[in-house]
Amino acid sequence: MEQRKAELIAMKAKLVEIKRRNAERQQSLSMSRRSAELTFPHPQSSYSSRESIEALVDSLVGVGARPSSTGPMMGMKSSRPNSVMSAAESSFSDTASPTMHSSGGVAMTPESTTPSPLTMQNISIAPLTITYDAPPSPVREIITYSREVQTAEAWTEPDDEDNDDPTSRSRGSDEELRERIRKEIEEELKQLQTDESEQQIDGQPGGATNGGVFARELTDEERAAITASEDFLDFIERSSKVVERALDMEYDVLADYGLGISAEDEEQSGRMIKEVAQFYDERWSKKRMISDINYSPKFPELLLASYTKNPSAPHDPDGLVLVWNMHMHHRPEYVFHAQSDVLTARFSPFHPNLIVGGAYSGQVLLWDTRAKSQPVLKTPLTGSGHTHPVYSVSVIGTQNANNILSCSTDGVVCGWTVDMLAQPQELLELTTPPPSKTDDLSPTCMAFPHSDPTYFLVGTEEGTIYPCHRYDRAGAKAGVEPRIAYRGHAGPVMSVDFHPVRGPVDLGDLVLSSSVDWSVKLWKARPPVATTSSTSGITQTATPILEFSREDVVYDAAWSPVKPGMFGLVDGAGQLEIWDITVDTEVPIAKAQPSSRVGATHLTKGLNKLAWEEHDGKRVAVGGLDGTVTVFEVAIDPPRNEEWASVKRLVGSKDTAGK
Amino acid sequence: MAASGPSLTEDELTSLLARISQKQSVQSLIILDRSSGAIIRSSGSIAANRNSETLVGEYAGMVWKFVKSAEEMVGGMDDEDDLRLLRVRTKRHELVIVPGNFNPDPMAIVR
Repeated sequence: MEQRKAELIAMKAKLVEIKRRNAERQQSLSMSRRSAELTFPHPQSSYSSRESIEALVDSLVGVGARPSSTGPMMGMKSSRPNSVMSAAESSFSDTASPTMHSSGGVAMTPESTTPSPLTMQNISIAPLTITYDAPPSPVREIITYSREVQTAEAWTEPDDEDNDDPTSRSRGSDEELRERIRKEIEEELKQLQTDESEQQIDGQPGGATNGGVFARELTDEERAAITASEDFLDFIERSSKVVERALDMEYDVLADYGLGISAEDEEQSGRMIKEVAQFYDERWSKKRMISDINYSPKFPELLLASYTKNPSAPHDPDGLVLVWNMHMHHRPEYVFHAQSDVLTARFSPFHPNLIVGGAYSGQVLLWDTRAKSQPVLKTPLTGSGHTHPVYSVSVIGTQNANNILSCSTDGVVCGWTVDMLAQPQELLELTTPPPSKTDDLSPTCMAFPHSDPTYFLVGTEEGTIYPCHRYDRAGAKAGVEPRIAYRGHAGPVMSVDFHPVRGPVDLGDLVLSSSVDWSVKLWKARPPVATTSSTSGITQTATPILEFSREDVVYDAAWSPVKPGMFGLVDGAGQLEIWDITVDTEVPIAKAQPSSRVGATHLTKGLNKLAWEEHDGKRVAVGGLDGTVTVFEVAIDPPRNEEWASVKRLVGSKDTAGK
Repeated sequence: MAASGPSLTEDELTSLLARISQKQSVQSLIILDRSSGAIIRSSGSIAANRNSETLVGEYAGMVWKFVKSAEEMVGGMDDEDDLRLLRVRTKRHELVIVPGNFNPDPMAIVR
């Protein structure tokens, strides 16, 4: 018994010694990836003490009195220190070789199974805190890693954790912790993977080595699921636009003006018209012709172009309206469809989201930029509206009360409310006034003066321009005003444009018309009240006050929105001409031709339409048979007051001379 | 039929992305999952040869981390705020990153 006691004391002493060593080792481990020399002694020492420990355990089991209290504890916690050690072990082993990772853990187990109860008594606090850390991240694959890091986490700041009141740790900090853990995992994985990829540079492809920071590569199914989802497509749609705009943005914020200018810029600067952009989309613009162009009144960088059908693509919609952005050259901002060729389209001046169009089928269509590509409203194909092609639409009125006016080639003019296209609000049938052989009238274009929404001019296929009233009024019935006709063109009138009223002198009665008879004519429109005073029954004929003869058919002519005497025209030869009647009435002040795309022939050079940007009047867009919209910048001086007076004087002198 | 479908078809999506990545100035286009950083799609010159798969992954990882930290910064200034566009100019390259509200965020490396 005495001997046994002595034995026990000796063992206790040994035990204390072992404890101390273990504590030492843990400490040194916690200091982590130090040099290996530090860690080497410990396996040695643990091995040396192993036999004695076994003996101790045996003896303790033999005595059977004391372990009863430590037993359950040990049983419960033994798994934790396991991972503690293996984690710690691997944390320095992985710098050497990541494949060691698992084997390191295995190697530790025989050693750690036995000393663990002893260590446990020492550092019981650490596992306790760990249990709070324990809620593993929900991702199954990561669990192994998160344990690993968890312990590392506990080791790096055990003191803090101890000081913390464990109950005070909220979910929030858990989240935080998880986040931190995830980041560390990334770090480690990255390290692992760079090592791995070095080792198995020609090893297994794909799979484990996606080369990235991330543990797993998406499977094909997952990828397909993501790419097929509505959200994803929507996102790509939007974000790709942003990317393209960003890429096309020409202004360089980092520009250094001290570094010199390229020669090209200098060459361009001397000219009055400069081509700044061309819009063409391989998918949509191909083999279509441009039927109309219009600038957005709200966003000066947006313009729309309407297109006829592509005869070689029967599955694509016949009619098309593309909205182009000056900052995105290779792709339309919006694509709008129609079942029939769109012949005319314009932004509603009162609602920047709405686009109104007229189709070959006789339909009037309304698109919304907030909606998808189909029209949000359209008139029915049969019944009360147009049954012939609609070549002209206008939005007339004020912000609070505006109507869509449309005009088809059979002489029907309809008024529609913007929210209801099922039935026209007003319907007017235009007929040629009496002296002619037939009373058919086929309008090709229509224009409203800026001052009077009840009166308009229509240009017809026979070449005459007629004034029309929308409503019955004193001395005149709704329809074509029989007492006056503007005769002068020998061919169909292609455009009629009232002068924009924006200056000190009212020039709103000046009308510009273009025709396939190779000319542009300037008219002074008689106010409708004045015509009532003339003798009824006899048609007065008004003659143009100025004629501009050209070398080809003129398809469009439009006043500049800022310069009183300036207008632009486009012709069948593909020329854009800028005129200023205050400078010269015989020759244009500038001419330009859109640079042709590759593969374009002379047959597709002709230009159909022209539109001025209305805010500063410096840009003009043209488009024609080849489906390309070309934007030119026109160098203009700000308009002077004398110009207004000079236009007035010129018009006055010509007017009296003509009579 | 494309005319009636509100969303893009697979082909259209591919051609849309192809057009961006075929722009002269664009080197590569990568679409990542915003939550995990996994690569959904990648194209362009750095993704072209097989060996560079790891390179794309590395790029993606770096970008993803950058976006995360930018997100943190923005979130720190205003909780309700969200990241919309990142443009990073370097001497040689430019990165255009558009984080989505939905998971993935694309990236274009240009110039």
